[in-house]
Amino acid sequence: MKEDDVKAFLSSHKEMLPDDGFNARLFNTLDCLPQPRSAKNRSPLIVGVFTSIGFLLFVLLGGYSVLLNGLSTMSQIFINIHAITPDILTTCIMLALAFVALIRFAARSYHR
Amino acid sequence: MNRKEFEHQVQINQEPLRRFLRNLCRGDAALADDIAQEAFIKAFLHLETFGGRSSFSTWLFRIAYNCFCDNKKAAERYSPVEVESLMVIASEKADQAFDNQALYLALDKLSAKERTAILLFYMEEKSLKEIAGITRMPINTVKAHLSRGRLHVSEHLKSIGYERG
Repeated sequence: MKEDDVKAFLSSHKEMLPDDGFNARLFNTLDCLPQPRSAKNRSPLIVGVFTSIGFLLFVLLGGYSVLLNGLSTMSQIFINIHAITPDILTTCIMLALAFVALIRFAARSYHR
Repeated sequence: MNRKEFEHQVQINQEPLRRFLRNLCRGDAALADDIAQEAFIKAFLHLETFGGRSSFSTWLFRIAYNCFCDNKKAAERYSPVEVESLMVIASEKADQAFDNQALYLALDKLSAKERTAILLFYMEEKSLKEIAGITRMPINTVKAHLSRGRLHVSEHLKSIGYERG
């Protein structure tokens, strides 16, 4: 009841304000001001720099051989697929979900 | 956002923003329009800082509310002369303000924060989240101000014998 009264009272006193040249005055003032700068999207630059650094580190620290070793180890898993335990399976699922979340976050940040 | 999109936003938001400021300024239309114009100009000059995390309207209302608070502080700082001159302006506008006198009397019963919350919630139909964004208060604080403001307005309406028509 209390809320209804307050709502009704404020609604009944809601004014509809005519423009009265407000927009025209404002736009005339805006004409005299410098045009706003558009926000610079620095994402491509940051992505480029960090990708280069990552690639350099990868080459310098022998990432290629580590990657090959890792892939061959992974292939062993598929060869012995019957030997997969639930904890390995859970780890793989969680890792996949983490990658998906990371990619979604990156995509959203890029489009924002 | 370019100039054309900004002009479109001005056309959509100017009326609710001016009404909100006019009610905060207790019916002083000239002062409210000056603050609204200042808010729009500030928004235009800092368009690149609008990140889209809130709606444009919420962002604009926040700038306008900050302008109002700055204006109020400045008026208090230069008090004797400025307040007197403001009173003269206010009395000149008395005829215009007469229609809404009942509203301003009710708003006078509220603290500044209660008034802001009540006006944004009931008059401008903003959500609690938007009010929190505009005033930079936590949502629970907004709820508390709304609740107290509602109580004070209700008591005032009771005292003047207001009945819903």
